[in-house]
Amino acid sequence: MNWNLVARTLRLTFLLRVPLVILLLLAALGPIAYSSSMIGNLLDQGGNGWYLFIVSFAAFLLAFTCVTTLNLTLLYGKERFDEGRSSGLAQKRPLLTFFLGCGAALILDTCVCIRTRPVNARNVLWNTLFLALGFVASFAGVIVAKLVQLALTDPKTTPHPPPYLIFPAYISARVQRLFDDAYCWSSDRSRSVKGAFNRLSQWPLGILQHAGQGFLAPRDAGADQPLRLLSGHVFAATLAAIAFLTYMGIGVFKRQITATPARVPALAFVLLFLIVACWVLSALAFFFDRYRFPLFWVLFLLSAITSGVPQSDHFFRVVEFKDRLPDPPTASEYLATRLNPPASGLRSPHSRLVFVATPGGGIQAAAWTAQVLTALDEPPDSAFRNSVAAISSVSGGSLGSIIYAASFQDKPNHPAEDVPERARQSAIDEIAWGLTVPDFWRTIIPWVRIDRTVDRGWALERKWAAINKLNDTSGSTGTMLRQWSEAARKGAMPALIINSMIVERGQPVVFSTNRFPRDRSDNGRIVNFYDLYKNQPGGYDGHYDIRVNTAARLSASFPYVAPASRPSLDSPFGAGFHIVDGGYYDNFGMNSLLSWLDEGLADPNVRKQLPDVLILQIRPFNPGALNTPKQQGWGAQLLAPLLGLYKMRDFAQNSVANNQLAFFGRYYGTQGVRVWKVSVNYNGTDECAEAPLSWKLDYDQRQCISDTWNLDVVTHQQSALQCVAAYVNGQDPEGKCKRAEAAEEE
Amino acid sequence: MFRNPTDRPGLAALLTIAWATLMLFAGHGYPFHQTFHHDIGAPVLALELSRDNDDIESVLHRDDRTSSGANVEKARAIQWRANVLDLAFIPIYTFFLWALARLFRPRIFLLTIAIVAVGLFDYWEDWRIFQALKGENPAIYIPSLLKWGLMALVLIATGWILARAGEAIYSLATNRLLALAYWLSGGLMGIAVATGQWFGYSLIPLSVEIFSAITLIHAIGLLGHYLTIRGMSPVYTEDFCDKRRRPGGESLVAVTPTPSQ
Repeated sequence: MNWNLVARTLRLTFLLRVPLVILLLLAALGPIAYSSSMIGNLLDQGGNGWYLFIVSFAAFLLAFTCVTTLNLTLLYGKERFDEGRSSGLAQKRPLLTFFLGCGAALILDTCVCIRTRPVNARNVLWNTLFLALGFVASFAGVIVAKLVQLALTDPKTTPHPPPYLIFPAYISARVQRLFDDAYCWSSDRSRSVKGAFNRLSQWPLGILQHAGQGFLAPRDAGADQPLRLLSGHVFAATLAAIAFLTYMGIGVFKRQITATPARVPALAFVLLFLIVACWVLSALAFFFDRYRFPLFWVLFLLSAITSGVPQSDHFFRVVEFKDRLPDPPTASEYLATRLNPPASGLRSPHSRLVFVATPGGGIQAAAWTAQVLTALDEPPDSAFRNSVAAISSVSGGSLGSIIYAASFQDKPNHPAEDVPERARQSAIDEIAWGLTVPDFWRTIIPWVRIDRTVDRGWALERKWAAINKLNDTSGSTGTMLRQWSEAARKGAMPALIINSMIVERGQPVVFSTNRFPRDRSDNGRIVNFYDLYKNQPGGYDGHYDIRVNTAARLSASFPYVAPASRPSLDSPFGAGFHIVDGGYYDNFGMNSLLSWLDEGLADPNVRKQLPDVLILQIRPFNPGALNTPKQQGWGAQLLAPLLGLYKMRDFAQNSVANNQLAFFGRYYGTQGVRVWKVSVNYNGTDECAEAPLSWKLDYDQRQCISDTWNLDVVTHQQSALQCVAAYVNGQDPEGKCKRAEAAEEE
Repeated sequence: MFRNPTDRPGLAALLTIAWATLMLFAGHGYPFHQTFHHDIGAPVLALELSRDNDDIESVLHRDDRTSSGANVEKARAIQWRANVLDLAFIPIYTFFLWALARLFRPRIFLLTIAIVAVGLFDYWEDWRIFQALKGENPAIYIPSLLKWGLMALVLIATGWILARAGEAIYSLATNRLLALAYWLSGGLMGIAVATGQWFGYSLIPLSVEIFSAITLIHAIGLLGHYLTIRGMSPVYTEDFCDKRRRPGGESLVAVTPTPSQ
């Protein structure tokens, strides 16, 4: 075994760590995403040829970026680093490096090809074609960069011909001849172009002159020669410019969010971002490695500068009104209206009201919520729709609930039959854009902000608004929660309780169309969003409102996917509460639903008219099998606290919700109100068993929602359907529905 | 093939690793909790070192009325499969041990006898395992401990050979580091065999893992040269365009790939 070889490999691995790590990431991204329920749908391009093309283009461009930075360090490292020559820095296997880069991109392309739904021979063929075109386009970009390098390199003053940093074209004599001709070709025009470039570059190169070796061509001692960038850097700068302009161009263009699918898929954004990251980190490593200053410390110091800057905080949009807004109805007022509705209100034929609790779980929860609520109303004589009194929702369930609620208002724009399809529309591309464009720049230059509310959360809510026609455009204020409160006051739509949480206090906060909780005192229990500025200076109390899509987004601020945000009423320099996903404390929405119902039933007249109450629980995922114990080492201790927090979201919170419901039912049973419960569960089989935890459903997963309803719920959950039908049609639920205090069978 | 003296032990090392990996996969899916006698964590080793009916029962659950018949059958099938694979594994790893020792030292008479004995004890052990799988209660541990004990001696002796090998095959540092690894593996195995009855046999898997790592290093070290790709460094022509314009310079090229290490 050659220990010198091992030592040289270690030294090279260190100097080349940035491109090597990113290449490794590129190669691993596909296989990791393929087996992940959270990011697996990143790979699915929905059979869209343009998406496949742009993803492949970005993947190969990233691979070529890594290969370029790697070769650049090998080529100029021996000048840049003192030990460069003894470290064996030289381009020894350029063809192998090229194929390694292509191999990494090819792994990702393969995963994209086989993960893109629907899968059939014809689609695979087309997918392969578009992916191949992506490779051709990115290679064309490389050739453009090469031509720019040749055009700007002056043979008279450059120590050696421009190096080949991606593909060693000199292995073909004919191709090399072409490049050699281009390099040595000269005319008055070309000389003037090169001269102009040289003059322009003198000023910035003056800075690099003092940055040590490895950047500029050596000059003869005493000669008054102009400064010249080594031509490898010219090539790298051109390729970097192509990548950066693509990234910026798409970033600016993508700010326009419409209902139509995004022009650039999420995966392409991620790859473009990695390209920019690779250039920046490689440049920093090349510069600082000479001084033995760790890259980690450079990044740490840069982060330390910006991470505490208040302008880099995330804000959500709140609309301020000059006049005081009317208070929404309380839960008991609302229930009284629903039980005795005006002509414009929803009339349940037998005064039987249904109260819905729908949990979190990304787009799967949204789609299943919409499917259940719409499909329960499909039987021709169903009175379900007019019986839905309140929906308490969390996270993805909140998206489903606002789409369903919108169908009670402005019916031409929100037909009820469109609800399931709208809830299945992806918004993952917009999140990727938000994460890699505005949120990235927010961390780099937080001081320069045009609109501080524009982030990935903003992109998510704008996409939802566009899909669901909520008029949230630059020329319109959108659909406000108070607008729906007014409809609720007339009994014309279900009450909404959208659950979130305040980070600083760990306190539940609700966005509701009702005055809930009725008690505005700060007793440390649930707080209404409209009470956040109750005793605050600024006179905002009662003068502000929020869009329904913003409220849903805040409820669905899944960790890291959407940011923890504070109201835009706050100044960045003042203190403020940050709001996150409601699933942190109750992923099933039961706590606030029962509190709300408790306030509603506090009125004896309501209680008298409402002797039966049905709680409909929607479950968007297959019941999780209890994980078997595992063999673990000490490493598991690092993750155990986080894993425990994450895992309690399902089993523990469900257990708490069941207990709450049982106690509630037991108490109101003594007050003359029978509380019934029913669950409509997603029980997918085969491929449908694994549902994604994401903001995108692929073609098959969209089909799974309908199939599971038609094949499982309709056939195997008949008792649940019969319970709902019997209840809303005024029959005695005894024997058809279960009492809330009854033990769970699961 | 076998043109190079390192090829034969190299290939044997590769085959040993490949077959061991196959056996590892074949042993997956054991249906019971892996709680065995003498602090052993693997069902195959637990069966190898069984002394009586209780020990065998802890692995195979033959008379356990609480275990389902399917699981009992599955456990038996896994052990059967592992034992069949072991029949082929014995000549592979013994040949590797012998070929490697021969690479460093031409006269290894005693070591050859020891290696053959290891193989024979392993076959004896396999025969007793088959008996156990057929429902009998043989004391499998006797051939097993003889095998592991002799194996420990073989590893220590191989370490000794490497320690005295100087710069042969590998560098001095590599030979000495490998010798340390062999001694560690053999030493742990020997301690486990000598004290296992009282302190458990958990050191045996550790020593086997060290030996596996050594074998992998040998596979790479002895066959690695076949994977070496010769470098072709680009050599750039200085003042290329000037030289090209000169008479006779038309055929000059800017970059010439040159073989490098």
